[in-house]
Amino acid sequence: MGTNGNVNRCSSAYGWGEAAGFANTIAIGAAGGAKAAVSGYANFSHSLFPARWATGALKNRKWWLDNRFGKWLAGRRSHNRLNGDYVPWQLHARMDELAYRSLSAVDKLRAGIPFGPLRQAINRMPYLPGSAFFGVGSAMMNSSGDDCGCGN
Amino acid sequence: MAVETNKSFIEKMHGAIFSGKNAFDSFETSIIQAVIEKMDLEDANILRSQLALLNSTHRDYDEDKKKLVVYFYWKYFGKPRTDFPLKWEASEKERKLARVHIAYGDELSITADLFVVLGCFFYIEFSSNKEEFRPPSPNFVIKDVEVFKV
Repeated sequence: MGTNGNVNRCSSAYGWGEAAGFANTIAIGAAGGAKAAVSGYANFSHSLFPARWATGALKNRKWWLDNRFGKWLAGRRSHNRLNGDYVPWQLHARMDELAYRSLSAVDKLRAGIPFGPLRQAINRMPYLPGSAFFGVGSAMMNSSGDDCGCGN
Repeated sequence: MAVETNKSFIEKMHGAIFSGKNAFDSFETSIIQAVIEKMDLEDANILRSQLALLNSTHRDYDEDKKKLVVYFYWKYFGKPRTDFPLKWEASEKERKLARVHIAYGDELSITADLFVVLGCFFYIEFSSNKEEFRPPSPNFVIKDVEVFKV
């Protein structure tokens, strides 16, 4: 429509609009991750840190987890979605060798073969922070190269 | 016995590329062959038709039981399938299909138990007197094969 030429990119309103768009992109990403994470599955997969690492670290009083933050983030009973997601049991078994071993033969047949190390690593990224990172990344890509050129 | 299937073009292409490849090593193939020779014709046909479709293997050493368990899957675009054209109509979910005793000289003896799950041949459980589950060379002897009716 030819209106782009009338936009003052140096104005504070333009700056605030850009910042709001950036925050909105992150929020949409995080909301999408949250929605994906609570869609009714009963199996909680401690995906970023396996619960057994956290339990071991808490037992051995490792300084980096033996505190309230560590218990909140990675404790066995803490279903913290910064460190995992509610996932279908089949996916849990395929991402975690110990979860696979604990299944009966019938469920092993239904679940399928555990993923390889690379695919496990990709799948273990929790949806909530993963989506937020994706939001940040896409917002930064969108905002690059938008300098107005006025030097301010 | 011919197996009638209504496969789509994609299923046929997938089967031609992936099925029956790299699922068994030579030791497992020898064991399965020995079992097929001992089976009646109907069961042997079911097993052969399933073996032709299996295309993925997962080998898992169980440290507690000191056993090696080898699982065989028919994987189709990443998902396991159990709708084999021929299946056993098993009343139980899991049944032992056969037990095979293998000897390598006097020092190593291996037992392989083959299992059927939901009517599909699914896994072999290896146990051994020395925690070695493969003979060091092909000079092993299959001493005994017991086949159970599924």
